[in-house]
Amino acid sequence: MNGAEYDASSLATFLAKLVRLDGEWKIISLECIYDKDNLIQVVGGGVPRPLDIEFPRESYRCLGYILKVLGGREIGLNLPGYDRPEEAQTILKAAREWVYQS
Amino acid sequence: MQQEVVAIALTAVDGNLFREMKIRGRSCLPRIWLMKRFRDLCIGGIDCGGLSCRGHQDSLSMNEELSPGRQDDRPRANSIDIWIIVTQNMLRLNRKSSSQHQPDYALDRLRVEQIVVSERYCRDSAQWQKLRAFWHPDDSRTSVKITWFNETIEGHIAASKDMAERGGLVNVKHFIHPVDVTSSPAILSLLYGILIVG
Repeated sequence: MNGAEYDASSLATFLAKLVRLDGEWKIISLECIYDKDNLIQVVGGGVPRPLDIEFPRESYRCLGYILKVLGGREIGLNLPGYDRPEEAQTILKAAREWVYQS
Repeated sequence: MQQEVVAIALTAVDGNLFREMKIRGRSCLPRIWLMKRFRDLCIGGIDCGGLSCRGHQDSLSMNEELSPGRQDDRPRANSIDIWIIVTQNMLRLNRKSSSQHQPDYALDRLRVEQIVVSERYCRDSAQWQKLRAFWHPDDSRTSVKITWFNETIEGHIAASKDMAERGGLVNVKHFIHPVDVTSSPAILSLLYGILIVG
């Protein structure tokens, strides 16, 4: 990418919901609240050049860029992320209430 | 030389029957360890804060069994220095707190942590059938919401498989650190930190 090799890393909170089915726990949903990510050029990965990333969400800026460039996918701009803390807390609270109210 | 520590507990069970419980340890072990060991063996989830625990340099003999209801004429010996008694009131407390299901919770927590770690490992290592087995068999009840995908698990597997076969983002590794489990007997939500490296 960009004439060089990179390591990408993304920190996020995954939220899994499980139900007990015939004595075994089974996952019914998986969602993600993105935190932050990074791209680091690897040693010997080519001549360093500035990487121009334009993506409006700080929590998954690099992921969004990579998935578009390498995966050919348009990534939604309204995914849950800690750059929107109130939305993130609403999701976490709803998950706990789901347990207690079910 | 370490002196062996033996804790003997009288626990009240149904019908006011008292029975003897023994825990062996070493004198160098913290008392809280014995308390915990006692809890694991005899009580299974009671809040230890309700237990009494005190030193007894001239406490019980190990070899004599207590008769039901005769907790007062217990024999004495020098080899025992911790004495734990669970009273009937504490047992009632245990019943009140039994809804916490602490032993079950601990086991379930281990199970679900293993599930979510293995599930993402199967995705990273392209073990699609094994990955599917971690999910609810009814695909219509499942949901995956991540950056590039928002459908059911079978759709997610098909799309991941297609992406892997086309060589896109195949070197992704999920490192998972479970941090919070909220549960009831039948359902559970698991919140965990994740580092995705590709």
